[in-house]
Amino acid sequence: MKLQGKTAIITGAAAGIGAVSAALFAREGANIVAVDIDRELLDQLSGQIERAGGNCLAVAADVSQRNDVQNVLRSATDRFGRVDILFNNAGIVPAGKVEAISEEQWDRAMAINVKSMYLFCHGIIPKFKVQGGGVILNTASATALRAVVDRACYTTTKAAVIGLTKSMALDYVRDNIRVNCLCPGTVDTPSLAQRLAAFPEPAEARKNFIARQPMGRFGTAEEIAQAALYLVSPEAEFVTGVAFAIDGGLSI
Amino acid sequence: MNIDFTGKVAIVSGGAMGIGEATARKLAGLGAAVAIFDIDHDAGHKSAAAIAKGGAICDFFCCNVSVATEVAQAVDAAVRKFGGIDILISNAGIQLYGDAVTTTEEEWDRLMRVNLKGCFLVSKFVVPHLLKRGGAIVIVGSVQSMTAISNSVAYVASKHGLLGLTRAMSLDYAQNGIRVNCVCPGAIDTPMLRWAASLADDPEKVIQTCNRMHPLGRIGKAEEVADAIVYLASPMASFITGAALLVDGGMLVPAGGMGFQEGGTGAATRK
Repeated sequence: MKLQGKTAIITGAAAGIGAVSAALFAREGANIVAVDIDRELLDQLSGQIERAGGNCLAVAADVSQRNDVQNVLRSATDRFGRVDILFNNAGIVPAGKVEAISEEQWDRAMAINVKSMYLFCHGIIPKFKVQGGGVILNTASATALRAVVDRACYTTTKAAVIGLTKSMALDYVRDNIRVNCLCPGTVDTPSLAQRLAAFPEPAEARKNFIARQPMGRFGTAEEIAQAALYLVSPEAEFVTGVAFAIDGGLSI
Repeated sequence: MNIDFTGKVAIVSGGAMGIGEATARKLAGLGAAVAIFDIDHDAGHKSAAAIAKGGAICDFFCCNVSVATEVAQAVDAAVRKFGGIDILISNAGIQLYGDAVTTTEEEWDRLMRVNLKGCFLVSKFVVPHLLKRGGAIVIVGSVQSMTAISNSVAYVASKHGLLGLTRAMSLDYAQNGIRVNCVCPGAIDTPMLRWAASLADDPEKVIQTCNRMHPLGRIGKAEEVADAIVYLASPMASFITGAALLVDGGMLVPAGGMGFQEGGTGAATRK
C-alpha cells in the first residue's frame, strides 16, 4: 500500500474527483480527512470508506473561510496526530465571458478556487516544517494551459492555482515539501453533470463536450485519482512544481 | 508599417508611473487620446499634464481599479470625453513579498483585488465599448506569469491568473475583432522595483543581482516594455491574440530558471 500510515486531507471530497480520490487513498492505507461544504454527502463517503475498513474523518467546512480551515486542521490533528498530505481539490466552475460575469461570481470563485488553497497551505506548512516534510497537491485545470470559451473567471482562477503551486514548490523545495498540481480535462463527474444540465439541451451539450475531446471521451474520476495518488506518493519524490496535464490530449 | 494611433482612444490603468506612464506617453506620442487610470491622484494628474504638454491628448481619471463603481464611472467619463475606446492597457498592479506562511490573509486579499480583480473589472466595463468597433487589450503580466521567484506567492499566483485571463478573453472575443495579449516583463527599472529593492538591507546589491539575472546583463527600461505593449496594441500585431510576449532580457532562457538565484528581490526581501 502506497500511503500506509499517512494522513491525507482532501477538500471537495463529497463528490467527483475528490470522493474517488478519498476512497482510493484510503484503500492505499491513508487516513482520510474528508472536507466539503455538503455534510450529507460527506457522511455517506465517510461511511463508505469506514465500511471498507478505512479511517475517515468528515469535516464540513466552507474552504474559503479562515475559521473553517483552522477547524479542519485542528480536527485532523486531534484525530490522527499529524497530516502528511494536503489535496486542495475544492472548486467551482462559473461560466461566462468577462463582461457577463458579475462581481459577486468573480469574488466567490476566487475565494473558493484560489484563496482556499492559500488558507490551507498557510495553516499547514508550519506543521509540515516541524515534522520534516509533507506533500501538497492542488487541482488546477487543463483550461489553465489551453483556454476554452465562456470560462474567463474559471480559467483565471485555475491559472492562478498553477502560479501558487510553482511559487510554493520553490519556497519550500529545501523543506522536503513537494507541491504539484493536476490539470484535468473534462471529467465525467457530478460537477460536469450540473454544468451540462444548465444548457437548454443537456444531451446535445454532452455530445458537443465529447466532440471536443481529442480521445472522443471524457476522463473518469478514477483516472484523475490515480494521477493524484502518484503525485502524493513516495514514487513521485523527485516531482515538484509541475502542472500535470491529464486531459486526454486536450492541451496538445 | 508606421504606427499611427490618430483618432484612437486608449485607457492605461496604473498609468501614473513606471511602465504605465511610459506606455501612456508612447501611445499619446503616436496620436492616441490617452485616458490614464490610477489611484494616485497627484501622480496621475502630473503625468497626464506632462504628456499633454507637448500637444498630445492625455487626461487623468482617478479610480481604484478594484472598486467596480469607480471603474464604471472612470470608463464612462473617458468615453464621454473621448467618444469611445479602442485600446485597453491593463497595467495596474502591486507587489508584496512573502511565502504562503508569512503572507497574511489581508495581504493576499489586497493583492488579488488589485492585480486580478482590477484587470477583470476594467475589462468588464471596457469590453462593451470595444465590441462596438473592435480593439485591442494588452495585459501587463510578468515573467512570473510563467514561472516563480521565491517569497512572492500572492504575486506569482496573480500574474499566472492574468495570463489565464488573457487567453480566456482572447478566445471569447476572437470573433469580435478584439485581440487580447499579455506582455511578460522581467525586472524593469520602475518605482516598483526600486521600492522592492529598498526592502532589502542593501538595495544597490539587489539591483546588481537583478542585472545579472538577465542574460542581457541589465534590468529593462519602462520604455522597452512600453514598446512591446504599443506593438501588441497596434495593427502591426493584427494576427496576434492570446499571446504572452516575454520582454525579459532572456531571463527565462537558462535551465533552472531564476528562482534560485541569490539576492533577487524575492530572496532579498525574505526576513
